Amino acid sequence: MLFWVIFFSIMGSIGAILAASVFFILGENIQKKLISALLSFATGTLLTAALIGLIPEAIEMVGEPHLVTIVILGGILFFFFLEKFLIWRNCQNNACEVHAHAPGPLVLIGDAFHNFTDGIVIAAAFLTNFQIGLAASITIIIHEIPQETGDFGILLHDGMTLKKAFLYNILSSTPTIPAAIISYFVLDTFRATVPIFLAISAASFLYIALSDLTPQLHQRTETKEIIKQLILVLLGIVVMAIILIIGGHNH
Amino acid sequence: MIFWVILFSILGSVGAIIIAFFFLSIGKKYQHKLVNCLVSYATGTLLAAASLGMIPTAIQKSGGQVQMVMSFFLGGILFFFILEKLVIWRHCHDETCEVTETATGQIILIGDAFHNFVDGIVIAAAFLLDFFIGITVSISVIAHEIPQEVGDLAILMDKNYSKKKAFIYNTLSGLSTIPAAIISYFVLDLASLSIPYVLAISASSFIYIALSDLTPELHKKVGFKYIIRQVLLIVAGIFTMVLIFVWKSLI
Repeated sequence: MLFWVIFFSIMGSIGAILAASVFFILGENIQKKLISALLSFATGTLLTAALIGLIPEAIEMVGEPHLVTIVILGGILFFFFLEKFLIWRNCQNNACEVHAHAPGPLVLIGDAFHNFTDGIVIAAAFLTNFQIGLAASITIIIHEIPQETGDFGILLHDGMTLKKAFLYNILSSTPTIPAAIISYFVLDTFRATVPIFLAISAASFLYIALSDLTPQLHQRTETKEIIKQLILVLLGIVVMAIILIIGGHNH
Repeated sequence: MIFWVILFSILGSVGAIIIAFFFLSIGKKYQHKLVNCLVSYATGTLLAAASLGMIPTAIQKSGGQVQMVMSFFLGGILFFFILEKLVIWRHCHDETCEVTETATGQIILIGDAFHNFVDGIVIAAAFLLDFFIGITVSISVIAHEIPQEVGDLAILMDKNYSKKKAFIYNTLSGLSTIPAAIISYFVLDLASLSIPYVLAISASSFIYIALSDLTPELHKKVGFKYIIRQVLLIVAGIFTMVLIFVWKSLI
């Protein structure tokens, strides 16, 4: 299983950045289309991986739902405060549009932290079983690609060269890999904590899908775009459901 | 139990509108402050009522059908996502627009009637499952209905409805909570096996409102003062729900 943990933590960090840089080379028009398609698809996979995969698995391991749902609530609050803190850090002097003004270093630190937690999620999920690991990893890769593309845009906007932005972004994403390997061994020793980490991961997936991605999706109001979004959200749900349910996972 | 269902469906509809009307008549400055405070408080109560009460109770009463309950929860999220899309599309498909600014009076009233109808079902399902779940759900409904109705009344008055007319129309559309609650009470009492799943869908509406609608609104306020106030009020909302669960465990 360690092989898969390492493999998917590389895919979820460096792999996502490579995909993001390909997007960047494709030109703005295609890039925008691909990104908005990926955002819809990611919304479906995040929700399904959390609700049908991580949460039921965590509840089954604990044998009782209350502890798991308390941790989920705590996790949602934690991510709420984290986002508040990030907004406050770069907005305290003037009212501002957060993403347009986030300075380069903050983007990189945020990215490093985000990828560090991705590593923990991947390790906890594979320690549960292969299907859950696969579902969590695919979800992470898919939502990392638009995220990294956005980070690229900010770094370039800050005046970095393409090469420098690429190198810095790769560097800030590598924490996924040591985080995944260390958590794999730590969580393997303290197996009883795995459901808690699954619940926190589920909280982060729900928070990202509902508080970050959904309002972004609702900004587009053209009929064609709405239909495209719905199809892609559904596709994300179906892909995850296939991995989780039909992929031989039995309860 | 039908007594409580009727009492709280009256408080959650007509009660909330009367309080909202009162808010509107005390002046813009206090009104904005009170509405902002209530939005934070409601975020806390909605999240806590769903994650600490409705979801674990639904899982337990379903006989441990975790994946089934969570599938209904996911279906609920998807339903509310599509519903919000439809509302946006109905008044935006000809041009890009800020939703609340162009919503017509009629759509506000129809949307409100539908929303309150759903509130009625939620209140009935919650009380049928457990008295204390019923109380937490009712408090959450009232807390998030007040700022909602303040917004609706303000839009109606903006659309040249007189104060009196706006109040009467809004009350009429809000009344749908009461028949919805009474009818669902008797229907669900007969089909009691479905109650955990109805509660799961209700929980998804709470989580959807808290994360996709209220959280982005809260994050728009960036001053340090606002952040502290928001955090305190969210915690107060959660604490209120926790107190009710403690009260339950003492009986």
